[in-house]
Amino acid sequence: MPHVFEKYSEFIPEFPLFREALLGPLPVHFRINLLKISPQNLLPLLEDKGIQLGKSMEGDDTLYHAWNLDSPGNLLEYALGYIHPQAFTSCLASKALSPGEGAYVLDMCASPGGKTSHMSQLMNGSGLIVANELYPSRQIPLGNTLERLGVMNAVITGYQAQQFPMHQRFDFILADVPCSGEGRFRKLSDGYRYRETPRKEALPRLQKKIVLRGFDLLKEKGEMLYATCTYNPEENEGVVDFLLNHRDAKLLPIDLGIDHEPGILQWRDSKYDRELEKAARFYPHHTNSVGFFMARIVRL
Amino acid sequence: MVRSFPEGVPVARLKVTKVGLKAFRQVGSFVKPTTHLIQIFGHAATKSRFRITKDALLKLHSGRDLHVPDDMEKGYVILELEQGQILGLGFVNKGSLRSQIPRKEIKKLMLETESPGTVPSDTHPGRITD
Repeated sequence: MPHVFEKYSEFIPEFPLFREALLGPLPVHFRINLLKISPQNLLPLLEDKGIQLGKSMEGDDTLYHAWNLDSPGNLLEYALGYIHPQAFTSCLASKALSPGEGAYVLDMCASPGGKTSHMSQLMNGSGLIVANELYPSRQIPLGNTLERLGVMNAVITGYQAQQFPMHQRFDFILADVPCSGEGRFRKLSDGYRYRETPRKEALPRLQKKIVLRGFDLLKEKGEMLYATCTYNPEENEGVVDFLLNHRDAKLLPIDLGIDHEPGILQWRDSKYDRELEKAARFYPHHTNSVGFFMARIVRL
Repeated sequence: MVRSFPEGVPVARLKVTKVGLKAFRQVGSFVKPTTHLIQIFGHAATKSRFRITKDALLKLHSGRDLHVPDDMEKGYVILELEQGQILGLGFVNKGSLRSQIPRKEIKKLMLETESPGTVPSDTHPGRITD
């Protein structure tokens, strides 16, 4: 098939396998919500229903693939907030940032709330998360998710992320920014076409504003995770490189024990800071999940 | 929650649209805990818990009442399934129990998935755990 991502073949390893991965369906993946139930109590309930489960990664009892489940949202366990359907790589973002108990956290673009609630879980329901979402129509699903999952340590605000007020600084910031979403693409049918939109070209400008404001909102030694679900280097390395050129920032390694590629150092005419090697690119043929980019940034 | 921040209330200067989890609402003369609050803390309750079968839940979900002993005190009870899942509240009055769980949250489909092929019983009164 003529491939829209052919232009990335120079840096995506094993490109034929990458293309092949996009032909299959995205497997159902969910997170067990420790704010409401333990894996020991939940797993028997799901297994009683004949759901075939596979642990997503070693050392984490909350992340599972459900191989024979089409619609996890139709389970009673979903309604009761025991599980949250969430792409595996999306779950890795909260784990990469890993805010500790009692932390003060900002989620700059929080809806629909999967990562916000995951961070609440990692914080054991302590501390405080400011879950920011500009659009009121997206604040509704955000609020619903947080309520269903029993998140009590979050407040919702409605600022433009790039203009979030500079009143106080945060220990941890998640900047899961609006992106072109290339990583979510799967060729679902012959009639399905990936479309380039004019909006995509405007995204890096917005992303650079958000990453700068996020960095300025960090406390000293505070950490920010910049994340997108796209392969486009202009939205990934290009944005983080812009931050490194304009602020006293460094990158930290991302070591989750999951197969990933480092950030790239060159794309077309652009050369990026060597720090970008510490960023992580997650590809669907390695993780069987959504493509993701993450950079863990620290304020010196 | 905010007391744990020694530098003061961190969000005091932000325009906040929603705070935490709604815990209670006033319903007539009762202060009623919300379903989400009950789902989190209900397991800690030592009384007023009412255990029901999946069939009984299906019946409640369809809008019908369950028969309960006439001497049960009027008021709210915590509904839980036989495997311990806390569902939300029911309201007992004069020998019948009515679900207070918002129907939009638990869809009928979820219950049918739970017990395929079963028919709600008219006679099952549920079981009181305390």
